Amino acid sequence: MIAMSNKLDFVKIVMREHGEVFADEWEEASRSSGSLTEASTKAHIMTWPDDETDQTHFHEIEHEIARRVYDELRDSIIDTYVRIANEVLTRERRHLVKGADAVRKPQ
Amino acid sequence: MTLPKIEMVNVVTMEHGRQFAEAWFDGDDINEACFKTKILTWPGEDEYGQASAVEDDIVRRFSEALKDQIIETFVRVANAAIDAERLADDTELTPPRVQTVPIVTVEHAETFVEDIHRHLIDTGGFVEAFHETHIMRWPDDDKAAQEHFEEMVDEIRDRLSEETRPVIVEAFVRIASDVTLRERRRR
Repeated sequence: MIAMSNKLDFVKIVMREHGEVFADEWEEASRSSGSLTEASTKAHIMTWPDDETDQTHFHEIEHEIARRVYDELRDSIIDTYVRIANEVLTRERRHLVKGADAVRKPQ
Repeated sequence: MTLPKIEMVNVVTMEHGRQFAEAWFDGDDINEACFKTKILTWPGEDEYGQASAVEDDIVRRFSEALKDQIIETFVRVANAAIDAERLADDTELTPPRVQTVPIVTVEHAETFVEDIHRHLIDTGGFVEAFHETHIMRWPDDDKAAQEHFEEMVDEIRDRLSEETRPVIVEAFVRIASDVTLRERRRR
């Protein structure tokens, strides 16, 4: 499954399963680091309340927006990741083949 | 041939129905809820199969009869609740607990997207997720290959960020608008 080169090894085809792993790992990393909710805060669509209970509610709203945005975009992230990664790896593979051909050609 | 040994009540009453409904709404399995009404009883394991078949038949008939009623009730109740919300008098609304902007704009969403992208780079979240997919193997002993590896990863990250940007912006505006509108209408 891994394509060998003299420099880099990579899979022959990036599949949907790879994209699913990427999307879920990315979401997990974003959630644990607070990236998604912090980004939501930076957008300044809400004012930070003084009351502690309301602050909890503020966070609930942030989490809801982040979760709903991610849930809706998961498929799109997967598809785009798979397409771009395949394009980049295919281009890399072509470079390697060209390089190998150039080495084989007599000077 | 032996006679059935399970015992059945002479008549199923409203009280049985109430017990069934309460058990079912409390989260019991539908068969368990039926069992709890004690409309069927049996002396031992030998009669269990027969009792079970009767119980399954009751549950099947019940589900068939109830399905259309649930559909009709759901449509009626949900429409009534939505209409009431739509026609609610704004003067009855209490102030929102969290103040929100009146309109979520594309500019808000752009800020959201840019901050996510910055975080992906700063926290290494993208690289971490990328490595977990195992589509490329890290070249241990070749510095030039390592640099090239990183260039490829950065390219995938930047293109992914750029190409998903419009859909994230659109989804953020729509979802944040929905949530903040609901928040403003809190009672």
